[in-house]
Amino acid sequence: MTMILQLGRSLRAKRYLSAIFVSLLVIGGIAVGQMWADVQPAYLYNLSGFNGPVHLNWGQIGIDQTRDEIYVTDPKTGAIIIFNDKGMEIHRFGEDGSLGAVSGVAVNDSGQILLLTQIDAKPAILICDYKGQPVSKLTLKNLPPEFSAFSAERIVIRHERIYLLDQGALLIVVTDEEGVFQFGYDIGRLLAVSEKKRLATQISGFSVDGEKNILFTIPVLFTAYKLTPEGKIFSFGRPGSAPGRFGVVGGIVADDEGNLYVADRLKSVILIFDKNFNFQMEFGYRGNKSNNLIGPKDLGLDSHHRLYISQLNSRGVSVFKLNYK
Amino acid sequence: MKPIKTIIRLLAIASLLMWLATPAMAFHDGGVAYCNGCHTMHNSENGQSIIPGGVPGVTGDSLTKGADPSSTCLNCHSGSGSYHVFSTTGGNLTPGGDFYWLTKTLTFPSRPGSTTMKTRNGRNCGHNIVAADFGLVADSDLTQAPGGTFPSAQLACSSCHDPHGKIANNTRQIMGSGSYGDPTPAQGVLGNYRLLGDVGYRPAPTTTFTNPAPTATTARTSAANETNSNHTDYGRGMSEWCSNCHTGFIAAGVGAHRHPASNTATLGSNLSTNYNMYVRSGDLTGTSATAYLALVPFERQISDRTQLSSTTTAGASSSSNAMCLSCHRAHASAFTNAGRWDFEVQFLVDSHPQTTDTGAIATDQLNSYYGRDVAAVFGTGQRSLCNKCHIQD
Repeated sequence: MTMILQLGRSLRAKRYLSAIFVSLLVIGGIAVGQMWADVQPAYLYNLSGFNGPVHLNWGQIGIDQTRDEIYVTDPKTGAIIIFNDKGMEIHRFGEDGSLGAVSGVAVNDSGQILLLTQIDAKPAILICDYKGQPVSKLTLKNLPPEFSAFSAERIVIRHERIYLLDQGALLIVVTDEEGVFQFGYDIGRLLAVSEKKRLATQISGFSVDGEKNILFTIPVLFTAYKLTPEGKIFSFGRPGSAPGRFGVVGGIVADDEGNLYVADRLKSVILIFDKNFNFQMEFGYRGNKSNNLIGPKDLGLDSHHRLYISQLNSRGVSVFKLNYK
Repeated sequence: MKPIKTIIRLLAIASLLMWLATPAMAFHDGGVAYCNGCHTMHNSENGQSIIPGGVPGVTGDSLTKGADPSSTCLNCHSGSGSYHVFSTTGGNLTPGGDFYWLTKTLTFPSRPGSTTMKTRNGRNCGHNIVAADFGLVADSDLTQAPGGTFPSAQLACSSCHDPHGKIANNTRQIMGSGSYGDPTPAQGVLGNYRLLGDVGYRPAPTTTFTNPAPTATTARTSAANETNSNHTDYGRGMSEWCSNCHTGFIAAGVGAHRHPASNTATLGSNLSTNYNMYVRSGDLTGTSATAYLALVPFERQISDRTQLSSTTTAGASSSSNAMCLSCHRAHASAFTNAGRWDFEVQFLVDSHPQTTDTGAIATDQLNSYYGRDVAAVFGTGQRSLCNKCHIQD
């Protein structure tokens, strides 16, 4: 009897030790990961006008890398607000709703503003001059049959290409600057998403990095993806609340070092991963302090290593400087 | 030998953790989702409170991760298409409606051609859920639910939808969603239609549901935009369920001076015949096989969700009944009182929003009638859709 009790105690002790060991591994890994982060974000300011920070919810961000200007949509008024590289508003247009509900904004090398909107209830890509005056419509040409129902909801201009996303259909189309189809991706097929589940799967974050990789996130799969120009797809992310885990993911961007920045709307943080998808750190957290975040969604990154984060609760767009070791 | 056993145990624990962390395609799956999807366990992340201005460890309302329950829901459900209910365009044409309309303030002539202007405030156009993160605030006109006592300040998504998906008196596992007409699996049960609160659900201290969730079948999210052939097919119990909060609005007929709406408010042969023959003002050539109009739905008095069809175009029978959602949308609409059509105009073509309204965007007019060009579909002489049942035009 005594032997059985001793054996039982011994086994219990081993279990406790195993549990402690696992916990230490997890906690230690997180702590080490945060210490080793090669990039440290520091809050700079919020995008502002002469009356202070511009209050809006979940604006879409477009960065004009050539002129260092930041474009943000105001979903409530339909306005497109332009800020200079110091974060001050310099122009806005469309606040009368005349351009419809703008779901995306991008600027090409010649300074023309491309807006994703609806004209006569049909999706359209509107080309505007630098003042926001519509000058023409961009028509997508030579779309293959499998992309015939393509409806752009997000737009990125980079590497002299226009990258367009149909969030619900899980389709990506890449055109030249004249709208001529170059190549496309059926993300649903790549990820083996059934037709029935396709619209319920929906892509959220969407950007293109300096190496022509397409980055995107799918909230309901708790996963972020990197699609290479060769069509190879890599994924990372696991659901959960702990640092490094995904709640409801939103925007995603990558810097020149290959570090990946993922917005988590639910956890109210930005997660940073290195180019090998190893978690580095996360920052923000829900709160009212200037360096806190509330419901971060869309992200933008300019050539001066400044990260733009659109948020909820009328917090507009917060700007963080990324400092590298 | 011992180290090998330890390694095996650790691998087993790791495998279990990985299995637990497997992503689910459908977050709710007809029942409760994973807890930390919505709740924080200790109100702390990296030593900081998740509540603005809060203290780590001092918890907030129901430990939800958003500022409040609805903000937590909208964190996923805000957006366009599919499972979203709060867009920036009014383009979510789902049966419940788009909370976008709560944010609209429109100004337009009080009557066609008039120079007197009137303002329609979005707060009059639906259920004013409180979602601080999204700028949605309590109804400033009504402090309680019309016909009941539910406090407006506590109105949230979870006032109607039970986020934990409980079914009254259920002892079996919830195996999936009960919204799509699927048969009950042998191993368990399916959830309530749209996770609606069941008998005993208590969304506020003053309100405990006494009526069960209704029977209905709707289109899957991959084809959620409502049309006459892609819609929610209502079975029975909707008005009774609404009366959990709007107690005084349940069917009472002439004596109570309220429009009948309940399982007993059957259309009978006269009204069902009207419904089926009515196409538009002045056109009574409709047939029962194609008479269904999603702008004026009804209940078929069917209790088995598998017998309902979200693609049917069949009209009413004499046993069909009017219900709250025959005239109103559950979330919000472009029109006052969450009307399915504009109750304030004589002719539907005069409905607002119109593109000339101050505060309207270009797509509002078309989205208000779920993609229908009213003049093209019904003609410029179309009067109120009350006439679908009553034919007084």
